[in-house]
Amino acid sequence: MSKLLAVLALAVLPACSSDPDPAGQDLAHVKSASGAFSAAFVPHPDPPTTGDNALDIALSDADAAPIEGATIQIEPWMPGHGHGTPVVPELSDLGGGNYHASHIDFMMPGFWELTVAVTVADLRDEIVVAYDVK
Amino acid sequence: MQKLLTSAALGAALVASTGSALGQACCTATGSSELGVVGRCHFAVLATQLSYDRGFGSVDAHGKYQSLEGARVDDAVLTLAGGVRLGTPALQLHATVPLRLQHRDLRGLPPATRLGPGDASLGFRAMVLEDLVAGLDLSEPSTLLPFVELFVAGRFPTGRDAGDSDTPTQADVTGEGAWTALGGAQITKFVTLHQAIVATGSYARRFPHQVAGASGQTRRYAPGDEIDAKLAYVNVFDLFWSATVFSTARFTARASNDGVAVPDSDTRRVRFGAGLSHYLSYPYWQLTGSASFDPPVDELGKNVPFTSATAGLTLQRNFTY
Repeated sequence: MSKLLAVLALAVLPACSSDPDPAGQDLAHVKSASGAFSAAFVPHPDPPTTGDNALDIALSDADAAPIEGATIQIEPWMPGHGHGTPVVPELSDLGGGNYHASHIDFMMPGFWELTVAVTVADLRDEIVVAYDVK
Repeated sequence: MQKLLTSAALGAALVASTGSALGQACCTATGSSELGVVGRCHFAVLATQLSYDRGFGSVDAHGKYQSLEGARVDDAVLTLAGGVRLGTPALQLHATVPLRLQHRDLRGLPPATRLGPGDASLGFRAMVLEDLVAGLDLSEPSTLLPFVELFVAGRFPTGRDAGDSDTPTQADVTGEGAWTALGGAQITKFVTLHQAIVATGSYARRFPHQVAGASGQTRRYAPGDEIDAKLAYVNVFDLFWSATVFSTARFTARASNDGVAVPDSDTRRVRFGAGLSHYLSYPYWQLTGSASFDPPVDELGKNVPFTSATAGLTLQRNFTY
């Protein structure tokens, strides 16, 4: 019986491990979809919890040079549940390529995605960062 | 002495009304386990149920249970329900309309309490096979037959969905936002004159719908289809009292966003509960108390935002032929 269970477990493991684990990404270096931007994220509190959260963002270009004066919009989204939150996060430009987002509302535990839309001049791209909110 | 006389009178009534007792057993096992469903020996039912649900934890995508820290999640639900036979005892139509009062107090957010309609449902049931309610007798094959009911139902997005929420805690989210069509079967078998096993299974198709984020961006969200199962044991003590223990399981398939499946979004939820039912005035007025909960353990559930304990009280008025 234990052999059968072991075989079943081996059969199941590859399927499980092939699923991406969004919370396992390197938050110190997340690239945008086109690779034009990259960002480092520090959540507050760390790790994020249910309720009101904040996020420090250090934004840079493909050559790791800080990007100042970018327009950033953040949308929290719970992909497994098909909903976001009615609260729109507020962004402030701290200078030197550093930005602070407040009022990020994770209103229930689970996997949340933050779609960070970055616009610099005519270039717009998105960075998606995910958190396993407890 | 008065108690003795009362007991003797009740005992005599029970002996004299074996048919009624069996009828009551039959009604209890075929009707009262589902809100608004007409019991076998009734013509129609009107019911109101008040339930209180207290969140105490959550289960993540890996099945790990965690207690809810710094948060309070309370729901009170008043549900009006009714059912009526459609010309023949084998067919019935039934419906539920919930009204939800929800309180959310999450760390760092202003607490909110909101009242709103939940998702209503309408169902149709057909009894296709009948138990003799004589208990199992292996020498008599006809006693092996159970009650078999087939049903189809719809759930309608009458509640407010998450896309229309305007509170940070989403205390005002009282519905799924999806149209749902479901079908299933319920099998009820009296293993003795007073004990029944009830097994219910259903498959629900939850239709895709557009949802909007805070920035106004819309997505086409398809919640995963749903399989529900319930196993119950019913013990009918006498003409007036019956008890039930039950377990429910709900599985939903992975959701998809704009046609792309969301990894690890499938869910699993298993609950256990018990109920006690009493006829205040047989066979018309019936009061049922019940309690159920999500066991606070790892691996049993998956992707359950709020696990909870629920207590409910149902008052129903049965109408006979």
